[in-house]
Amino acid sequence: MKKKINWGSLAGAVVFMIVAVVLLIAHFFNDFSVRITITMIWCFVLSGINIYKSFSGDSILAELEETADERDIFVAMKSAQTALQILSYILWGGTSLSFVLYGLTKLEFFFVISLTLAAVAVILFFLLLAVNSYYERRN
Amino acid sequence: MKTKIRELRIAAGITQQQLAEMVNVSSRTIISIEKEQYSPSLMLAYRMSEIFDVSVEELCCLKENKEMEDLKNEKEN
Repeated sequence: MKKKINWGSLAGAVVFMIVAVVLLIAHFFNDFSVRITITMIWCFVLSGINIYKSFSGDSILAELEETADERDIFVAMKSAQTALQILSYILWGGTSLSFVLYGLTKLEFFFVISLTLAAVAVILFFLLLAVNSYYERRN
Repeated sequence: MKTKIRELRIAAGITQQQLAEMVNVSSRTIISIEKEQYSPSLMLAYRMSEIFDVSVEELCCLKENKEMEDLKNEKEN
């Protein structure tokens, strides 16, 4: 049976490889940094794992398709939906809290946290919109 | 969703595990359907209706479930 390529894992592998190469280049132009070295090695490892996953077909979804019945798929979808909702609440809650803390303390640290969390929440929202639009057209 | 699966299964003398194997699902799925925690897909309901030799409408108590849903919708509106 012909194995399917898992494009999601392959894309992940490419992204991790790019980050690893950028870190490798940064390594040569800067002084030795343990943090950069560890991150670079970690990115290479993650890239390798993703390459293996993309061609072996043993992704969670592929595994689920082979072994799960309709209720398992329903439970997995429901769990993913709930987890996404919780993550969204955490992100917006964290954004508001750190913004309030920034207002009270005027520490730049809280403003950076607030902006970062808000950016992730906005990316998540647009990602959700894009995926929703994709399935609206396909189903 | 309310179904007649439990009573038909017991009447036919088959276990949840056996029914699960007959329709290619896990026994947990059969348990969930019988506890009214999960509604079977149309295809799964059809497979079970063939085993018990009844219609999908009868197996899934569609008339009764529709009336209950209508009543619930009326209360909400």
